[in-house]
Amino acid sequence: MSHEELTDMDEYAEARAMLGRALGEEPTMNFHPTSVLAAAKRSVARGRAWAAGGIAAGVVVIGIGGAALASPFGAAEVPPAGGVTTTSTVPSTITVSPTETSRPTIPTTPPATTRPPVTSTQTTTSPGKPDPTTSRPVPTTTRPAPTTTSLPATTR
Amino acid sequence: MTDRDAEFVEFVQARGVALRRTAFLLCGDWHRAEDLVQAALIKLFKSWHKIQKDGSVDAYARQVLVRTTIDESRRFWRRRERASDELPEVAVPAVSSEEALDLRRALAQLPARQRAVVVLRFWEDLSVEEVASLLGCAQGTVKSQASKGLAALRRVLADQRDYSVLEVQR
Repeated sequence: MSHEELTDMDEYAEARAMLGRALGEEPTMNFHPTSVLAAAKRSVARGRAWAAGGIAAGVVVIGIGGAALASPFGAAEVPPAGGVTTTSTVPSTITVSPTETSRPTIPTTPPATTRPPVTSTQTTTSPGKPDPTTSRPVPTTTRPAPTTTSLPATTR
Repeated sequence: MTDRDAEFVEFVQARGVALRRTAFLLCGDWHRAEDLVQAALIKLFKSWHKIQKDGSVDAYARQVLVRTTIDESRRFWRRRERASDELPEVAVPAVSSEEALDLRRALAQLPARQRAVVVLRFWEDLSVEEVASLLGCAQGTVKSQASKGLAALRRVLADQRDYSVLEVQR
């Protein structure tokens, strides 16, 4: 047996002796095995009751949630989402008029309505001169200046 | 009484005293040691069938006891004494030897895990591997904790002896 093993054994024996002395005078057992068994059974029963209650609560929650998703509670009493607007007369005029009035104003303003008055004024102001400028209404419509030039023609 | 109950009662009768001693060395109080043993035995009963199949009831009981003790020592609200209307049937001997008291104080000064290593290694006579697997730590940790715990015990005892010698000389 080596020196290290001997020292380990001495150390081990010393520690064991110390712990044994720490116990001192030992009192008698205060609990009986049957009482421990009864307490253990109560604990098991309590655990089962908690588990059963938890499972029942989970089933109830899942049932209520499923029922709510399948058929909402009081669905027959709740009015449909679009029912209010169709019964009243006001929304029909509101919904139709803006779309029709707004659309024609945007495309019609530039070409058709502005050009004819400009050409008519030029023909009336200068009847004797069939200038090539009368055949071209483009510069008169694009620039507001030709209207000012037509005024001296009327004064003449 | 079923077979399981009979086997459990038999186990408690056979190992209850030894488990209580271990619990006392771990916590330093006989009444608390009994509470810890009862708590460990209740946990043991809950998984009695599974443990019996493995065939290591004693090791499992020791493991549950040590872990219950360590867990309880970590609790913020742990109660060292319980108020009760009735006095215990058998009182703890009021007078212990001076050395035993010194040793208990020295053990109480160790951290809970270190104390568990010392008790399991030197009192329960477990190997380093068994202690490591029981506490869920490395074998090197068990060795170092055991030597540190033993050194701390020696140091505390030496200090207390020096103190008592000085008291006697005065």
